[in-house]
Amino acid sequence: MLPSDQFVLFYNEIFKFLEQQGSDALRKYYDRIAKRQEDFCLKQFQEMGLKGMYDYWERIRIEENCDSWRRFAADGSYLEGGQNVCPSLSKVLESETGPCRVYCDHCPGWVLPVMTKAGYYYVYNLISRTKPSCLNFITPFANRALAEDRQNLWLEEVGDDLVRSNLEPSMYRGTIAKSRNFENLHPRLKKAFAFLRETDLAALPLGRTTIDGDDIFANVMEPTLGKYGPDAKLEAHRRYIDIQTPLTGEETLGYIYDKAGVDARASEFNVNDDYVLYRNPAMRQITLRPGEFVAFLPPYGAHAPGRTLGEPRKIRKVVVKVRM
Amino acid sequence: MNLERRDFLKAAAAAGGVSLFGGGCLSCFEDPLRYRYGGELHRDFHASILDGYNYVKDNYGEEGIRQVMERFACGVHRTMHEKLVRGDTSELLEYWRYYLAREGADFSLEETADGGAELTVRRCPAHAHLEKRGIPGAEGLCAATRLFNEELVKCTPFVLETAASGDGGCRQILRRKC
Repeated sequence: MLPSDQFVLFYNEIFKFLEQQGSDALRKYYDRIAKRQEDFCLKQFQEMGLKGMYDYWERIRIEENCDSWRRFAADGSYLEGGQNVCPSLSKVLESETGPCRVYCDHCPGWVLPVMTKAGYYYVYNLISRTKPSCLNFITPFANRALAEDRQNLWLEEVGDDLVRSNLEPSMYRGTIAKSRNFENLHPRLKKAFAFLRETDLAALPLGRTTIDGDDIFANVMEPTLGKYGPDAKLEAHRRYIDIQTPLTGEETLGYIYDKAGVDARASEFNVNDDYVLYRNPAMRQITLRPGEFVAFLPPYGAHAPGRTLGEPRKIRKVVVKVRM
Repeated sequence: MNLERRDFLKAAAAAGGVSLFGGGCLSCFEDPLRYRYGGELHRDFHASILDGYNYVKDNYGEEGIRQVMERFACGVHRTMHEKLVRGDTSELLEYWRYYLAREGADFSLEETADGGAELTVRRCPAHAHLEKRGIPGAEGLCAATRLFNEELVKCTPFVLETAASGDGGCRQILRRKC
């Protein structure tokens, strides 16, 4: 018998082994763990909601000897909690071999897919990969989760390759005519969408049009669309929301809506121009027609604009940049 | 240093007057076991061990799982392995006693005349928990234990035979190599 007490030490060695097998190996293992964990808790989460989650983690708190806490919002809209001392990371920090570099990642690796299936948003604040403490926030309301996520300040310390929630807010697609539905995603979007609705976009000059200083502005461009394919490399922004809309023809954009699918960076983050490029191709694609838009919200996901499923051709498009 | 280990050393210091910070014969009272844990048990981790073992074996073959187990046996349990290399079985025996007792196993452990030992587990707690949970494939836990044992005694003067009885029990026999 290998002692149940030593499971995390064994787990830690599996993670190290898998990390050496390539970028996707850990992800596949997390998926496997998530599938197995569904047997233990998904039904409870689906049927009992936040109360079921509270009960599940209360049992874990006792059995795993966690120094942790959780509490409900007064209005019942969310459950928040945290590990004051995570027993799992504490154990591997004490291991003779030390922790796997990405040890913490297994937690969102299984929790987030299960939460998604249960219909809840889960936001992590992992604080650090080497300190055994973290915070978490669970709610069925996307906007509430988004607001919580934006308060998290751990990104710089932990690095941007750690998946921190099951939100999929990186990409919203809609029509300009009905864009009011999206205004509550960010305070500056109201003005940005009003500009798109009320402006004769075809008459805008090429280049920048200021809408609200550096907070909101539009870039009109005439790119030649490349053939959509594996070379459609991804880019992402951190400071500005992108609202992209084609003016004179269809445009195809590749995308990945969460960090899980984003592979190694092909460039350092360009602070001045607010972009970073990734090596891997986009996993999915959408095609927009004039009158439609897609909004990409940092810090999730990445997109590959300027593509076509047909023959390469030039179009006119506008990208409204909205500071986060 | 985990709490129980620290408590052990404190108790040893109090009983023997040794200093925890040097100046005393700390090694005389050194806990023979590298890892001890207090508090509750999370027995579902037996299922997690089985799943992790199966996952690596199924996807990366015998060589893959052997690599993981080598790191676990000789890296994580470096102190136990190095003692065995020196012919010292004390940590392995304490490991068996401590964890089997902690998990509530029905077992006996006898040291043998050749400096080895025989461990008989009549009812394995890991098997029992998987059975209770309705999780099949508990024999994978025996295979994991066998592989762990093989790696643990590599390059040591011992062989460690692991024979599952098929009914949730096993015998593990530690012998000195001829």
